[in-house]
Amino acid sequence: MSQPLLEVRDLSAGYRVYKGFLRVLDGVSLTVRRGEKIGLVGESGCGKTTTMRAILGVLPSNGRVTGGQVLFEGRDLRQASPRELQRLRGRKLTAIFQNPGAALNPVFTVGQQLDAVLRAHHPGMPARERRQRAIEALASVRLPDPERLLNNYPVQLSGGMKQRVCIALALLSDADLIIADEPGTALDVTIEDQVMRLFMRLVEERQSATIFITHSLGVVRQWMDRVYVMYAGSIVEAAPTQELFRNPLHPYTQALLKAVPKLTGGGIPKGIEGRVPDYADPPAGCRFHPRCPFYSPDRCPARPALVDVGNDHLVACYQY
Amino acid sequence: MAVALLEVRHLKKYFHTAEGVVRAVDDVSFTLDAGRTLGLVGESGSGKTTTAYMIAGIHQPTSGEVLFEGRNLAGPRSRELRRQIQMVFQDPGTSLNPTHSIKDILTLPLRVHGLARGPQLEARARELIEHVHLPASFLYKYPRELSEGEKQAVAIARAIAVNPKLIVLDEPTASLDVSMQAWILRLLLELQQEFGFAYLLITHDLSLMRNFATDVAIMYLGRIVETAPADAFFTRPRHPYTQMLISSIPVVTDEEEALKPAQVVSQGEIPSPVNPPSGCRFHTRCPRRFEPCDREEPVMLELEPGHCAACHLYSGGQAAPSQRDNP
Amino acid sequence: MSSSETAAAHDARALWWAMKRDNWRRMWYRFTRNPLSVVGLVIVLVTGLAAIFADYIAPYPEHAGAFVDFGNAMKPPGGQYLLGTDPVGRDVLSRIIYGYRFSFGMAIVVIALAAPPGVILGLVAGYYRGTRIDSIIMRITDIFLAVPPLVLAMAITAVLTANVFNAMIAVTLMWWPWYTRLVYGLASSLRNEFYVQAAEVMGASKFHILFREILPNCISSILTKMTLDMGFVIIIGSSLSFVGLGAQPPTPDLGTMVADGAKYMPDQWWLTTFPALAIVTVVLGFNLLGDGLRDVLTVEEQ
Repeated sequence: MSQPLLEVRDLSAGYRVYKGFLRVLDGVSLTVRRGEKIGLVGESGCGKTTTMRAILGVLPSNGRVTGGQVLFEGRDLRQASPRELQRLRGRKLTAIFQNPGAALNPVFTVGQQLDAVLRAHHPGMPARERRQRAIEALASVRLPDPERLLNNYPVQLSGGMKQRVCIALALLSDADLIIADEPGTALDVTIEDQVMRLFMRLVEERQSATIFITHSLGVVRQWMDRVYVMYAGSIVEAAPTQELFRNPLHPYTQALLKAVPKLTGGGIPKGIEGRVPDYADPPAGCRFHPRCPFYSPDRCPARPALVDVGNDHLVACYQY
Repeated sequence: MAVALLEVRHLKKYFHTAEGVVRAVDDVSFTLDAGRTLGLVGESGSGKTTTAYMIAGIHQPTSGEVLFEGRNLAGPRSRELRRQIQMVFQDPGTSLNPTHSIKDILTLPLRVHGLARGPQLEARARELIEHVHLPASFLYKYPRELSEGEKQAVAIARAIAVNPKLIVLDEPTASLDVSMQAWILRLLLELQQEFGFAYLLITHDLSLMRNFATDVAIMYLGRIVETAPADAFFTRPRHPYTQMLISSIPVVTDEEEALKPAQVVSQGEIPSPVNPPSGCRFHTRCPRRFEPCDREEPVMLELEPGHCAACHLYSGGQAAPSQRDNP
Repeated sequence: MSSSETAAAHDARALWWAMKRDNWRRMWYRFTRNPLSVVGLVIVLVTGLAAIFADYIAPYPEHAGAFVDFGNAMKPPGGQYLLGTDPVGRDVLSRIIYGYRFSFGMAIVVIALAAPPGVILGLVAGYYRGTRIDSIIMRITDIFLAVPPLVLAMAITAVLTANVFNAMIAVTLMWWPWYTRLVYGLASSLRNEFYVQAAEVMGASKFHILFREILPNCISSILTKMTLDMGFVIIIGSSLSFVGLGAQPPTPDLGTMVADGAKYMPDQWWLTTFPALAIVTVVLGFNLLGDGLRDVLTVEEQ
């Protein structure tokens, strides 16, 4: 059996705050095979970004991973030394952050930032070749006039252009895994559509795998191979994209899908009652139970495990 | 003929900047009747927010008129007119003053307009918070303790506090999750049914517009390119820009996928409003541009009753094309 | 009906207080995350309390004034006089404690006089940014900022007489523009916030917008600046006294003590060293406290 590229097992993490310890991630498990495109969806506050940060080992100073394993090509990243992790982060796994404006340093030109990445990854590369590679990278994300762009500062670019520069940065490293956190949120639909098309094409060309974090179910449906639905710090459902959208099983997934207004009409749907729980004092057992229409104390005694219901479809719910 | 609640005629707004004159809104006209919802859709840079700001009275138009029940809104507005038109801003995080309690926020409009005083204020605040389905205990909270959706509900309660006739909604759910978005939109529809508000909804989300608005106007680079009743609009989008917008939407069901005009692939970015393209402003991105597009400006034509578009595909001498134009 | 309403009102009040209490606790938690902030707070509290209760704490309260005891002059630190005595036999520790009272008093008066006009001018100029009101206020502010502070103080005390009152006027005159600058920057960005726009669409008065919408959001920065300024005003006051333009003998003042003691260096080192250390300590305390407050209040705003 071939080894998966990334395997996250039972990852738990949280943040220390005034109210105590927020147990945000509660046993997240997910698997990414080589070249696979994974969508990670859920409401805000579900722990999507925390998952990404925990995998990359870049939690903020009050955050802490409390358990589980992050196996990248079979090696546990939690055991890796900071230096190894640093090296790995550039070469083999890389990230695109939510806000393209904040991810680029405003005091350096686009060229300087691309150059810094290249210098870090290819220490021996001559300056001229680095420049050539930078130009190619910008051209590959279809930015017009890449040579002039090298001398531009981030403020001189539009949101769509900045996001494309971020993608170019991420792709420069030829990483095996790219984790992208809501890269389309700040963009208009037409631009988001263009950026997505480009991003997915480049990912496919390089045969990289990607974990794409988003709250847009539509984006996931259109571009991803497999979807993980996250609620309150754990995976509640995972399935191949087609399967998940045709046959959603978890009540949370069903409610989420229903809540999206449809282009075909049908009025404004009902949202999900209630809100994402307080992580200082999360509900016992299934964390979705206070909002779940199918909950009954007899049927849902503890936290449900992810079970395979066939078709590579996993769900964590006592109904199945 | 009855006077429309809101009528906008040849509205223009130019900003003078270092790079030149930004023609943010360049000759926009539309009407909105009482109790209806007009959705103004466009990308950022299309001028939709500037239009909203002029109607709300934050910006003064460079030229053109905004008529509210037939009265021209130019110049400083009377208190009464300010009461009639309210606004809900895009970002609920910054539309509520973080140093004020929810009660203070909700009673401010009442105090400003002298609609209540003393103990009445508290009672009215309770009524308002109930209208948006939040518990009365929220009156004693501060904005930072609320979720984004709850903040937006408070902003809506503040807007309805003075019984306006028109509420301008500037991307009210852009920063919310699907679930919260559904909740806020249902709330708005419910309030509209109960109190008969007219909404001017500014958004870039067409699927939301489909289910929320009664009429739709599509804006591109300071101009309106297509207007129609909401249902007709989505089944038969006429303008290539509208088709591009619809085809860009990531959807969640197969039925929706079938509705998308597949061949119109999104390309290019909205040009700078400092120096808009000649002829049809969309011609630089249009997949169906042809000979006259970069020279002549298309005029708005009524293709079907209530459905208008400004595109050379439908002018060119002949009458409005009758074939179903759904490439 | 009415009883249920009273109950509701009572509940509301209880909720309100619970929330306030929770806020304070959270802020205290954040504040105590940084041990240096706590050190600053302790220094400020100890010196502040010593200044207030000088009459009870100072070992020899009568030494604060024109007291003479040549029998005990120039005693080195230790024994009966913990920090030694000065050339006329006064206890240095007692005089430092009274010196604190004077320094704190002066700093509080100066800031209380400088901050309000500075803040109001800054608010108005910031709100009307780009108009003539803005230009007039900010150019006047610039003029005041361009005059070197100590020179202004010297000029004023030279024209008038050198005394505490004039020194305070001088320091106040050079201090308000900093508040104008600070609030100007804040107000000119806050006026673009949606909540200010919302109040304007509503038709709220300018007074309401300036003082109820914008000002409360500046308070945390103003408070932080006031705390840091306490230390700086103490330094300036001491400097003025040091060059003989501030407090006049026999008023116990830290700057005067350092100046007088300098004549006796290095043999009677305690005459200068302890008052100088006293200044350093209290200024450091206010700086640490100010930084701590800034951390707490800026996080609070996010």
